[in-house]
Amino acid sequence: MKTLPSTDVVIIGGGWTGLPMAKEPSTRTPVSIVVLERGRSRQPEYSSGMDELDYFVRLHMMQDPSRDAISLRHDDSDRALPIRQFGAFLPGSGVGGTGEHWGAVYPRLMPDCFELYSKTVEIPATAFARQSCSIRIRTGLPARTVAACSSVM
Amino acid sequence: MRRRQFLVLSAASIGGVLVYSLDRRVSRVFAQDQSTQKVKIPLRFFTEEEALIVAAAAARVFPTDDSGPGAKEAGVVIFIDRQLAGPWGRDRYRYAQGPFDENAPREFGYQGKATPRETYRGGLKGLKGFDTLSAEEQDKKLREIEDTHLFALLRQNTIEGMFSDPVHGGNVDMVGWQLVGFPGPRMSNYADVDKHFGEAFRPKPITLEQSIRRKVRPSEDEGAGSA
Repeated sequence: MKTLPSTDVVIIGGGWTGLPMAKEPSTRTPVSIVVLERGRSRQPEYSSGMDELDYFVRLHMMQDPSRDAISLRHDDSDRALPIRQFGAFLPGSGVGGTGEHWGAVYPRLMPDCFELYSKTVEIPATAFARQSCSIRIRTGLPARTVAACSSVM
Repeated sequence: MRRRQFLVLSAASIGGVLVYSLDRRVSRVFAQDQSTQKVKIPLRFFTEEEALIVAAAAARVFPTDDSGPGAKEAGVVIFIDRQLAGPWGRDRYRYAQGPFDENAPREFGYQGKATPRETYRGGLKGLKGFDTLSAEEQDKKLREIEDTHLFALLRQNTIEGMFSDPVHGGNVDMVGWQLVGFPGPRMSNYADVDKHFGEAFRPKPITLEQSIRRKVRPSEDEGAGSA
């Protein structure tokens, strides 16, 4: 067995969570940090030759289902089946993780985004919602957008 | 080891140089001697007989007509041959263990056992002589197999062969990209914005290799020929 040098912190997974978690303490403190990431060794990055067919259609930038398969069923009575090729759900692999192929728009979080729940439950009309279902806080959307949606519904 | 098989085509049939103008008028420019020249293309997976059937079938899925070139000019059969010879053809990255369930709901994707190689090789046995039929008879035959997994793959691979980077063997001369006006994988259009501001701009497409000025190794070359 190969013994690797001792390190203070090991972070498993270098995606959106792991990389900032590694960067912050490594730039501010003297602790040593190692980030572990799975996936095939991949020299070229996007700008030096990630071809659309191989990397996006054949999904070579995603988790490899021949090694790490998952199964799916819709409820307890269903028979679970393996996900043989990923489709809508695309866990990434390699440095960057799923963030590497994420292609949406993420609006800047405004202060009220963090008060979404508090502001919503203050409105008397939302009392029924509090009783009948849990309110899901979607911080990705500005509170104004969500509030507008709720009032329409 | 099997005898090496070749597909013999006239150079013209796999693409002269195709020029698309901004108003979408097509003109085909052939070198003088090219139209009679034969090209011998080494096949990696298909036999010559299989390749001719697949070429003919792909040409019905994406026909050549007044709107522009089709699967024949784009060399789709070469693309499919290479894909099958490579890791995709042998399900290198698909979870290919049981339980198999051919009748699973659609959203679970293809749940069968056959690799793409097996699907093509088995399915093409039922299409013997397909390439010698008339276009109408070919369409009739394809309608009969429309619900098979072979047809699903053929349709998917034909579209891929029309529009994926020429490094994979299809989309010869970027005919597919010219057809839809895709300028190729350009890393930035920054320099062109000011130069062509306010006017229609359709640059000649470039390939990924031209764009990054480096060789690109397609995945099908990783496992070419191995079983």
